[in-house]
Amino acid sequence: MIVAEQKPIGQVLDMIEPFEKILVAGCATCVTVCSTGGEKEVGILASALRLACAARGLKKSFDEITLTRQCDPEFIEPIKEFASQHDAVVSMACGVGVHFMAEHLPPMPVFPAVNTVFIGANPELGVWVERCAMCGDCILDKTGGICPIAGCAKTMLNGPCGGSNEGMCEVDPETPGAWARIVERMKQLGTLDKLDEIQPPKDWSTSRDGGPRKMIREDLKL
Amino acid sequence: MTDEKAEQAGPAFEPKIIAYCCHYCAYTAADLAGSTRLQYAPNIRVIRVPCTGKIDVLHLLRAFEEGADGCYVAGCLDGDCHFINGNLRARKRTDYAKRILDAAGIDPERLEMFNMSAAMATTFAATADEFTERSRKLGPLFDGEKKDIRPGIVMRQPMTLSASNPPAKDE
Amino acid sequence: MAETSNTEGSVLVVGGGIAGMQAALDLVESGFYVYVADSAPAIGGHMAQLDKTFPTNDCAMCTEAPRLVDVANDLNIEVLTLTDVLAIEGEPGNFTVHLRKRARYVDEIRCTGCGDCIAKCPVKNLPDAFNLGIDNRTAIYKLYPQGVPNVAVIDAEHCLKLTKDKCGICERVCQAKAINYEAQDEVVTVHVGGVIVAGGYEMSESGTRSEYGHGRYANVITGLAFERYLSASGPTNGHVVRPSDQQTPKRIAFIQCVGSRDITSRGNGYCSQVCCMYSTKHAIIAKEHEKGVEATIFYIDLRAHGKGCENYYISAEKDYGVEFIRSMVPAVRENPADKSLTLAYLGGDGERIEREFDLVVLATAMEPSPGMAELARNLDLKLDDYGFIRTQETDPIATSREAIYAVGLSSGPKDIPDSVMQASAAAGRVGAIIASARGSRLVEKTYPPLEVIEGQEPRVGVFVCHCGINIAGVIDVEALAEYAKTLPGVVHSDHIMYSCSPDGLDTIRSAITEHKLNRVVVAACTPRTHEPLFQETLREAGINRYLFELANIRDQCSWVHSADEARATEKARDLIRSAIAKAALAEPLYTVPISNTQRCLVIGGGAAGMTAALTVAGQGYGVSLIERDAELGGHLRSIRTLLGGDAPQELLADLRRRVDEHPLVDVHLETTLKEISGFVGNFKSVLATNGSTTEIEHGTIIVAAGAKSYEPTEYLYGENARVVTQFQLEAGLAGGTLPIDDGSTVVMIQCVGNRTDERPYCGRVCCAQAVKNAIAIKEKHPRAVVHVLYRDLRVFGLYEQYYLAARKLGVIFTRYDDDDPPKVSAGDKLSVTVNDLVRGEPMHISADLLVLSVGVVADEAHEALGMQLKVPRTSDGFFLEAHVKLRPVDFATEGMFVCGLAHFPKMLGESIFQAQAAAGRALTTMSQEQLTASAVVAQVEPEMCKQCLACVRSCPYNVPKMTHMHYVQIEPAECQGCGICVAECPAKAIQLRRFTDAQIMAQAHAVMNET
Repeated sequence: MIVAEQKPIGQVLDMIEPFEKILVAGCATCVTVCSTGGEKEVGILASALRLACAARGLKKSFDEITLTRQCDPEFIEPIKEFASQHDAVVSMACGVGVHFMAEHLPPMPVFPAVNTVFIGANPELGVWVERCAMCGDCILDKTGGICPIAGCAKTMLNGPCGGSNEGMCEVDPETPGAWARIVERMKQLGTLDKLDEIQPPKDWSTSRDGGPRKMIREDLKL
Repeated sequence: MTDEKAEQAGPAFEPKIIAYCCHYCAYTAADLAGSTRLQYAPNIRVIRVPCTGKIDVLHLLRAFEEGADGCYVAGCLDGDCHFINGNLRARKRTDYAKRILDAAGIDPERLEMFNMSAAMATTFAATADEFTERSRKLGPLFDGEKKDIRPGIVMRQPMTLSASNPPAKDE
Repeated sequence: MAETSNTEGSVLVVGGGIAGMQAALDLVESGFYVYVADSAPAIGGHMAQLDKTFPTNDCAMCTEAPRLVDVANDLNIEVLTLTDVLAIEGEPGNFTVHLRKRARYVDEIRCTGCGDCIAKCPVKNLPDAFNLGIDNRTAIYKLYPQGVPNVAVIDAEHCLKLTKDKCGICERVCQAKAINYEAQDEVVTVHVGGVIVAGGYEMSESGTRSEYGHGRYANVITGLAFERYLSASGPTNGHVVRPSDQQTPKRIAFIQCVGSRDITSRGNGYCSQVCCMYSTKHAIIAKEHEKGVEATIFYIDLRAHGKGCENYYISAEKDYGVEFIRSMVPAVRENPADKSLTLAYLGGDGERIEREFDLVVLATAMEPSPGMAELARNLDLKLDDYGFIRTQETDPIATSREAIYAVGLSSGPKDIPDSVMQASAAAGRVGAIIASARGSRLVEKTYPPLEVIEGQEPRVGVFVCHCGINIAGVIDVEALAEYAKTLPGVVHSDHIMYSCSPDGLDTIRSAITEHKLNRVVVAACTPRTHEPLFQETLREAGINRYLFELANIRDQCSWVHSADEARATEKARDLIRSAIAKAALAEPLYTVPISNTQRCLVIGGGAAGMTAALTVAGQGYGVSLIERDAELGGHLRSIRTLLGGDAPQELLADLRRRVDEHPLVDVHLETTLKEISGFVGNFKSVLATNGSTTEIEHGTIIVAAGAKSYEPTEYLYGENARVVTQFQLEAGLAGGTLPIDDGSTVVMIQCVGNRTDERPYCGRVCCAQAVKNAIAIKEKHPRAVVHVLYRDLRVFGLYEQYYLAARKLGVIFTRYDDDDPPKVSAGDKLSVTVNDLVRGEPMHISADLLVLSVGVVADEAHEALGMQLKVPRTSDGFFLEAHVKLRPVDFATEGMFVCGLAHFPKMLGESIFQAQAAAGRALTTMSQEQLTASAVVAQVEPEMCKQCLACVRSCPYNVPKMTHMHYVQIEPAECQGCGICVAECPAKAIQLRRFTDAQIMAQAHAVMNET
């Protein structure tokens, strides 16, 4: 799931400074599940913005809407008319949602209220952790199911590095190094010998380094 | 700045405060304060909830949107929550809402969480007095006349108008 | 068992303290009508006087008040105050009891409890006994503010009208016309199937000893008085002060065993059981209230044998710095100049020490209540030597008379949880006698059909109460009623002198019909006490009870702002707007009937499990009893004798026979719980028996899974044949297989495996077991030498008498230091060395037999059971009940109960009454043909749910569950209605009915804005 976190209110206030009628738009998918931009957070942000504007003597109004998903044009379509009654939209969706709203709404400013931070898991209420770096060429089969790209500060493919200390990462001594965990897990699995294989340099063209990515399923597309 | 505000408002400034009170402790303590005829500042307006764990951040912010000069949550003593840990969640949410207020430019001192038992009538009364005094010193929430915050329209997909926040009259 | 058609489906409970209330509430829930007779003017008993309760420091009134309200509002509980038992006739199942109800001089129906009379009463200087005379009360008074019934009473001995025919002010000021100076005592006769005596106790002052100067020295007070000082609602609002100068005491001494463990003519030979812990609580709270207070507890043995108590004691010493001094204080001397007090006592090494204190608090004895002897005579019950009702270890709540049960302090000193357990146990037992008449005496009301209001615009009716002058004296209620007419949705508004009086309620009922009201707001007192009454009125008028809202303009407005009428009025307007705004959004709510499988699963076939099963079956419901061993009996199999002489193996044989023969009990041996799903009334379990499985459906679960004996690794156990445990000794004594004769020396070591860092709790039973076995040895071989090496001898309550008996028989008790346990080495015999703290030198004993007093430890297997049932365990591994004091056998999860050693180490008698209690509590659910789920529950809007798990993870009761439906389901039967999940839900997909977000925000808007 995509994990995002809210921007400081000050940043949002700066973005909307020239506008009067604002629509705060949430998204009922990933950002709801990570408690960042669902209906509840939309209410809280709108309320905070009303208070902030009142405190600054600014005359602005804030309406609220939560879309099923901001990354599908079909869900944006029915809100176009309502959105166009406003001067600007503040989107609480991930970057994709902001993008799509900007693309599909009638031309109007769409601002991000959150920072999209990673894709990750939610082991317990209030905690989110990164597990995948979206490199586009998964090697988890070779590393005991633990990703050295997402899990290692240096994205090392042959580790551990010399900086690791008793299995802990040198960048953050509180975090176990991915490679220490990989060795431990592969010991458990009895596949430690697989690590003898030297990994060739990774082809990063499938990652963000290859430019904007696009996926097409020919069988689904007419 | 705070003192200035208070001065502008003149000595007659009487803050209005919303107090979200847990049925099992603070609300009961408030009743006991009544039975024993304790006198306290008439500035607070109690809204009863089954547990402070029911209070969410939006309720706290909404109190200020509606024009309250101060707001507090009064729940059970630590470890005494009728519902095990609702008061601990309320404490966390209050702290979070204080940070939002701060970011919005509103003194977070206007919001607080207190803990008390059902027997602590004097604490209930003292809390009402002290928080009233605190709010009085902080002055009116917004400079000058009460700012007219326009309530917004709330919509959700499928497209329905929510009853939780009626459209402003002037629209 | 009385099965005749004249069996009465009703019970008399004598005593309305916490035990009496528990018994009454359990019985009523199980389908029986209850009379509660209390000699005081209000029920609540001693617990109402307490500030907090150990070992959790829970506020006593917070936990007791809801019970008071429940008792007061139940149509099937009749509270008879100022009432004593005169005589009983008849037989079990059909008794006639004559009661004397003394004159109150205030009409209980008319009096609204407004208190105007009390404010005007000219006799103001009578010592308030509820507050131990710390302050004064008037001649017309209420026992305490939260008392039930909330009705004044006239003290006939001091009332000017009744004594001298003067005054009469109360009659004049009472606008409800409730005063009646002509009232007479009356005799009330009730017909009941059984009687439960919950007669309470008296905190003795006779044992306060002339040498401690209580009554002579101002600053020597009793523990109960200290409780009133600590109480936030007490005479000093929770400030501890010295009576002599009203200053805060800095040095407080607590003296234990004042009148207890005292065989002189002034004292009692038993231990009062709770004083060590309540004094520890006093010391902790005194230190919490005031920084720098020094608290010192003088004691003989520190008896922290209850669940959570050892840790409480440790924490008092380590974290709070409470000083514990093991020394009996012989005398207290007052220093005339400043009224401080000097205590002289012997220090650890025998030197005489003098110390000065500002306040001395005496832990006085709990004695039979003053009316106990007469009550026992009138009910024809046998008393023990101390004046408590005589009961037996193997049948701990039964009295000498069938169908009459003794609970709580009636049968000896005990703490609140044990009293509450006995009350539930008595409800379970008496129910078996009158099961055939279940429901026959219940009063059920018939109501008109409900108006359908769904889809209608709100038509709000507002009623502003004068409450005599309580509200009207401060707020202009007529103007307020006029103002309410201008508010949105309001179609009718009126003002009423007493809205809660019968004619006031009539006014509301007729207005509902006449004005077609579909929402009602009453602006009066507090919903905590009066909401049920007004809701009932709505229902009587044919509209749903949840369309009601109370604006609290008395307790939280006119009473507390009486000095500022203008602002009180302004606040009242705001509160009325808030109530109307909330009411306008109220929806009719309906309690949902849910099916109930009237069968119980009992896990564990020891004494507790079998007793629980038989108690449930005794009321006519089926039980599946599972035991993982190949035979029933559990721990009871290794108990051969009992203090007091009851025969445990006979009990075991009897329990087994009854369980085997009972047609309603299915026994599954060598069986464990494999899977469980469902909720109260609707559990489905898979039982595994030697590889095969059985599925059963049941509505309740009683966990009686037992515990284990500690397997010692200390003192050469397992290496040397002369080292045995108390259980092995007990078996050996019974079988004559141990080499003990008149020439033997036997040494017993206490606290083996308990009160250690690893297991920081007291084994509770081991001291009594050592005393029991020591007596057995001495009785058989009077010349044998028996040593008991102990840390604190915890033979609590009435068991204390056997400690004395053992000493009389010549058993030698020697204390060893917590940090310096005895040393044992093997030779021809065993050599035991212990540092004798009294003589100050090591004592060497050459022992023929060393007996280790091992404690009861939690069974590791229960961890998995706890996870299966989703019920919590303590850090010591015992199951954790819903509330240590008032729900001692309930789990927080509805329909699940716990008893026996799985809960905590306990004596056999305690396991038995706890098992009966668990059954009694289970029966409150099991006796319902259908269960009713509360209407005030969280409700999920399925299409909004994103299955994010926030509710699943935040619910303290594990109620929200993921389903194959792709949204979370919250079962109304299980939801407790706190609203925590509602606030956590990021999709706003959950609402708590009656407290919806829309309602709360509408209230916030309404209190702040005129429109």
